[in-house]
Amino acid sequence: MRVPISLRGLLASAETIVYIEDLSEKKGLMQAINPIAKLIAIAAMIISALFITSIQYLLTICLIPIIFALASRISLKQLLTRTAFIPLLMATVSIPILFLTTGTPIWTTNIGSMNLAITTEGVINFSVFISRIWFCVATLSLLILSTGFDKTLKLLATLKTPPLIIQLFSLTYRYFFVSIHEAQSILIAKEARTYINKKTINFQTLKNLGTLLSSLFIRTYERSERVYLAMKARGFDINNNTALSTIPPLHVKDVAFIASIIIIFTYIPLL
Amino acid sequence: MHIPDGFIPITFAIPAFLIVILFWTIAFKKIKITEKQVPMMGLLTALFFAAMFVNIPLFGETTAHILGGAVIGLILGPFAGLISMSIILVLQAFLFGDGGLIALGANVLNMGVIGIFIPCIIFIILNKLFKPKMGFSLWAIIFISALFSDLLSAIAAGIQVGLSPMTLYSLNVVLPAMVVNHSIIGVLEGIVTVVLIMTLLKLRPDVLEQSPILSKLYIFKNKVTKEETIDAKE
Repeated sequence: MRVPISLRGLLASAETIVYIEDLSEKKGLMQAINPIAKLIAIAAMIISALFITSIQYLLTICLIPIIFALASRISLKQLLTRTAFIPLLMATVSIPILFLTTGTPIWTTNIGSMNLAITTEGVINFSVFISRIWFCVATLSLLILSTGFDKTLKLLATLKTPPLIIQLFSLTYRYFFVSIHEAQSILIAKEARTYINKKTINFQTLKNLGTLLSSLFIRTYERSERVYLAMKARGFDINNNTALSTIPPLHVKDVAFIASIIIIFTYIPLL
Repeated sequence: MHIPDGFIPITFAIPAFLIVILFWTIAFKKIKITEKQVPMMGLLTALFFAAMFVNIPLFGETTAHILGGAVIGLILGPFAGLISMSIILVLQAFLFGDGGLIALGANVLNMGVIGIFIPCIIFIILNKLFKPKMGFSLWAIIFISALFSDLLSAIAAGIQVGLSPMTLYSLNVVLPAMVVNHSIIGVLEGIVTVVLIMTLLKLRPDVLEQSPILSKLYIFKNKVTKEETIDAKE
C-alpha cells in the first residue's frame, strides 16, 4: 500500500528529529564545542556572509561548513541532503535573473522573435545569491546537527530565558511525538475506511483535514488534563530549572574557536 | 513564507527583532498562565507544530500545509498565541532549517505577530458588528480572519524580501507573486480553519468557551445570560 502523502510528511519530520539526536551524540569538532560558543560563532558567520558580495570569497567560505561537517563526523551526503532544498528552490525561482540582468552577453538564443541572452553580470548575481543562501543554511544546519535538544534547552536556560518558555519548549518537543502518534492513528483509520484514487485538492480534502485537526485537538485537550495530573504527581514545578542550568562554562578551546571565527569572518568582508 | 538567512540584510533583521522583543514583553505581561495551563499550551503548540507536517495535495504533485496562525490566535488568544507560534518557528528553524537564525525576528514578526494578531483583531471587530450565531455569518467571519492572517503575513514577508537589497527581484515582482500565491493558500487555510472551529463548536464548545477570543462569540454570551436568568429565577 502506498503511504499517504500526509503520513509520509509526518513520519519524515519525526525521523529528522531522531536523526539529529543521533548525530549530536557523535564525537566530533562541533559536538565538542560549547553550545554558547557555537551559537556566537555561527551567528557571526551568518552575519558576515550578509556583507560579502564577492563570488570568489563566498565560494571560498562555502568550504568552511563542509570542512566543519566532515570534522564533526557528519557526512557530506547528510549535509548536502539537508541543505539542498532551499538553495535549489531559490535557484529555480531565480533563473529568469540570468536573462533579465543587463550586461555582457555570454550566451544568446532566439525563441521566436524574442532574443534571450545570459549575461556575465546575471550569472554573478545569481551565483552570489545562491551561494550566500547555501552558506547560511549549511552553517545553521551545523548548529542544529551538532547540538541535541537537551543541550539546546540548557543553552536557553543559560541565556536566562524565562522558565515558562523553557518548559513550553520541552513540552512541545515531547508532545510533538505524541501528536504525531495520534495523527498517525487517525490518518491510518481514515485511509483504511476510504478509498481516494485522485490526489487533487477539493472541498472534501480540506473538510477532511479540518475534521482531522479538530479530532486531534479534542484528543490532545483531553490528554492535557491527564498529563498535568501525572506531572504534578511526579513533582512538576514550573519555576524549577535547576536540572537544566548546568551548561559548563566556556573553556579555552571554546574561546579560541569564537575568537578565530570572529577574526576570520570580520576580515573577509573587508577584503 | 519562512524567510531563510541570506535573504534580508542585518538592517532589516535587527528592527524586526526589536519589534518582536517588544511584543514578547507585552505578551509576557498580559498572559496569566497558570501552572495548569502550561501542559495544555505545550500540547497545543506541539499539535499545531505536527499539524504543519500534514500536507494536503495541491495541483500536480505539489502539496501545501496550513500555517495555523488564525487557529492558534483564535483558540489561545493573541498573546499566548504569539508565544506558541514563536516556539513553533524556533523549532522549525532549529530542527528543520525552515527559516533562519538572523531572520528569526522577521519570521516571528510576519507569522507570529501579524499572523496571530490580525485574525484576532478582525474576528473581534466583525463579531461586534454582526453578532453571528451558528451559521453562515460565523463561517464567514472565521474564514475572513484566517484568509487575512495568511495574506497579510505573506504581504509583510513580500515587502521585506522585495525591499531587501540582497534578493534578486524587486518589490513589484515579489509582492504580486506572494499575494497571488497566498490568496490561494489563504482560501484553503480559511476553509480548514472554519471546519476545525465549527467542529469544535459542535463537539466541545466548553473548550472554546475558555478561549479569550472565541468566548466573545454571541452564542457563548447568550448562553451565559440564559444561565444567569435560570439561576435568578431559581
